[in-house]
This record gives sequence, C-alpha cells and structure tokens, in this order.
Amino acid sequence: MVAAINQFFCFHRKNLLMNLVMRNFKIKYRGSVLGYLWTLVIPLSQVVVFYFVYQVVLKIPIPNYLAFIVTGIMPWVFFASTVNESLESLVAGQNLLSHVPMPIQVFPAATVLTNFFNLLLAFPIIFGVLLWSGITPSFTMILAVPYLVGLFLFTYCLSFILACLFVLFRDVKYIFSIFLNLWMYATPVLYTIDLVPDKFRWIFFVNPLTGFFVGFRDALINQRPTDPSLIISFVAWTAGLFLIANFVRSHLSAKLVERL
Amino acid sequence: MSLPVVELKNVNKRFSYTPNRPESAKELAISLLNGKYFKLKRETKVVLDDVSFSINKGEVVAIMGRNGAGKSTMLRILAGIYQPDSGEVVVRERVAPMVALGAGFHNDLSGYENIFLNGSIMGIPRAELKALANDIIEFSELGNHIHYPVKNYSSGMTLRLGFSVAAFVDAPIMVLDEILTVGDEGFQRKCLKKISELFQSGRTVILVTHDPNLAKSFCNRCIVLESGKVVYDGAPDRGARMYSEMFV
Repeated sequence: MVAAINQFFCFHRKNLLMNLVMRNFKIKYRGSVLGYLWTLVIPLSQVVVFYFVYQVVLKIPIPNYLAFIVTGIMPWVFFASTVNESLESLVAGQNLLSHVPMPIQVFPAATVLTNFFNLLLAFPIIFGVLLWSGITPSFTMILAVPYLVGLFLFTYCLSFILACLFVLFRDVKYIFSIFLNLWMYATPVLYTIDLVPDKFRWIFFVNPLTGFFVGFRDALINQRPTDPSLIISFVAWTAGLFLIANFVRSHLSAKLVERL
Repeated sequence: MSLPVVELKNVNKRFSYTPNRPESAKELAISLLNGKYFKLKRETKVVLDDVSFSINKGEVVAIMGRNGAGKSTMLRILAGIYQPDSGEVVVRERVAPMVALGAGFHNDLSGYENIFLNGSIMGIPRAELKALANDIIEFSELGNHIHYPVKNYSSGMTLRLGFSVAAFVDAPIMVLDEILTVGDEGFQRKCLKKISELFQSGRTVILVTHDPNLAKSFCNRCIVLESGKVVYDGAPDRGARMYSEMFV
C-alpha cells in the first residue's frame, strides 16, 4: 500500500515531478507583462461579475457575500481549470511517454501541483477579503487545511482518470466541459444549499464537492462545525476515485501507453 | 560466469488495430445505427514473434532490420515501456534510453533550463546534473546560445543539445535508437567519438542501426530481425551482410 501511494504521487520520481512543475510555472506566463498576476486577475474578475449579479442585482440573502463568493470561486477555478488542463496532458506527453520509461501520472500530477501552488498563493487575497468583511481570525480556520488537502486529492484523482479516458475517447473533453458548467451550478459555489428547494436538495448530497465548499466556508467564514454527512460524502468520493485511479495506474498504464 | 544482464524468452508482442474504429461519440452513434460497427474487424499485427536472446554484461549488440521489423518495439520492451503479450523479459541492471533526442524540450525554455528538464526526464539526479551541466554545454558547443529559448535554435542546434544531454546519461545498460550522429560533419565526428568511448567503457550497449560499417567496426554481436523474428544472431560482419542482402 505504501509503495502504491509512493508511486501514485510520483514520490519515486520527485525530481522529474518538480522539474515539470517548474516548467509549468516558467512557461505559463512567459512573455506576458502581468505574468503571475493573471492567475489572480482571472478568478477575481469572475468574483466581480458574480458579486454584481447575485448581490447587487438579485440581492441574494447571504451575509458576507463577498467573502462567501471569494471562498467559492477561488477553489472552483482551481478545480475546473486543473481538470481541463490535465485532460490532454497524457496525449500531449505522448512523445516522451512512448520513448522514455516514466510514470504516466506524472503529467497530471504536475498540472495539479502547479495550480495548487497558485491557489495557495491566492490565500493572502482570500484572507484580506475575510478581514475586510469583518471576520475575526480564529483557530477554526486551520480546519480549511484538511479541506484543501481533500480538494487536492479529489482533483488529482479525477484529472488522472479523465486524462486516461481522453486517450481512448477524445469526446471526453467536450462532454466534460458541458458537465463542468452544470456541475458548478449544482455545487454551492454561488449560493447556499438552504436556498435550494427541497426536491432538488438530493443533488447536493450526491455531489462530492458540496462537502468541500460547505466545510471550507464553515471553517473560514462561519467558524462552526459542518454537517458530518457532507464530509463523509466528500471523503468517500475522494477515496473511491483514489481507488479507481490507483487501479488504472497499476493495471492499465502500460496498455494506455501503447494506445497513445 | 555471471548471469546475462538482459534475457528475453519467447517474447511475443501483437498490436491490434481496428480500421475505421469510431473515435468519437458521434462516429460511434452513426456506425452503430448503420450497422457498420458490428462488421468491424480487429486486425492484429504480430510485431515480435517468439523472440529469445540473452545479452551478457559488456556486450555491444547491433540490432538490424528493415523499417517495421520490430526493432523499436523490442527496445521499448527492454526499457519497460511496453509489456510483452507472452514470454519473459528479465533485465538485471538499470537501462538508460538514449532515444528521441530533444523530445522533452520545451520551446519557451532556454537550452540551459531544458538540460535540467530533459535530464530529470531521463532520471538523472539533480545534483549529478548540476555537476554535468558544464560538460553538456561544452560538448554541445552552443556557447552563449545556451541561455536563449530553444525555439530560436536551428533544428541542428536542438539536436546537438539533445544528443549532448543523452550522451551524458550514465547507466550500466545503454539503449540507442538510431541516434548516432547529428549535426554538421564536425559534430558528427564528435558524436561518433563519444559513442565509441561509450562502446569501449565496458557498459552493455544495445543499438539499433542501419549502418553496416558501424555494426562491423564497433559491435561484437549483431541481431537481425525480420518481420518480428530473430533471423540472425551472431558475428557482426555476417549479420551486417545479411542485412544488406535483404535489399538486393
């Protein structure tokens, strides 16, 4: 089991993984003036739009809506853009994968790590907004850390599985981009679950990411314990995806490389 | 007598391929509807057919054969990239693939940055790369260009850098896939010199080549593949002759 985890997270090829992450960082904004700031500007522009639509125009009854939306959009953009970027990572790495023996999961892993560092770098902004909204920092906020770890794992496992599927069916990309759009609105990113009519609530309990967003905000904004059933759902989904992803890695990697 | 470092026993490898296989959901739906899907036939191509041989430590083995004879597939099986369908592959020491020169290069990174990226892809530890970086740069003769992005290199320069990184990979078993010489005549000579040093260093070398003279002058053994079968395994001059006669 330890060996499997080691391989799944590419600990045995740390040097390679770190070099790929550094490559991603170096090339992402090379030749652009604002450079790294774009990583912040893009989600922040969405924050402004959603704040205007939901708070100013529709007057959604959620207190501290700016803090609410920043703690929603930042992780969501991490999740969505990571899965999108990872999807094609195996096909893009084809030239290397079919010539040099290397773990295939290293490509999605590098993408997830790069974007996760970006998310962490956005935390000063998130905390700034929290303070500005009058939320007093407390030790409960530390609970955000396990949620972030969970989101990292969930995103990595899903990215890897979809990247493998993309090798076999190029449709995955289009299907997933539609699904991702629906998924965002079926997740409490922009509103709370209690605003949802009872007959639709089941969607939110099935949705693995509900647990993350509710719990993450309970830790940072509301500073109160989270409904355990949501946490269990998030953990169970992540564990399930991990088992699938690890099975794919250990049993199907070689077959996938031949299909590239 | 120690055990051979590489052993292949009755290795078979087939690739199956379905011509006109639908690759998207739309194509799948259409081919299901008009019934073509059920008439698709899987075609299998035997790439390696009952291949057996073993290589001892320190041997320099040339693999020869027509394009499509299965040489590259065999190297990939040796390197652990492909799994054989049946048969046994035993590799007792670390294999370094010297293949696909510059495949890991990123155009937007400088040559220097690419040395570290490519080196890590080949599995060279970072500390070792740092120690080797100057030698690699010097060997590549790129001089100041090493700090320019690779996209500004000529194709010859990119290959030179690729060869230079590959040439400094160190492992007990080296696998070379038709990458022996690149660049202009001066650099080609340098490549040959580097490779002949490698051949004389006591490492096990397995190389794919189409150059009969190279096989004769550097190798002490030659394996000729034809349609996935080993048709010759022995002295390089006879093997090289056999290879040349295939095209008469």
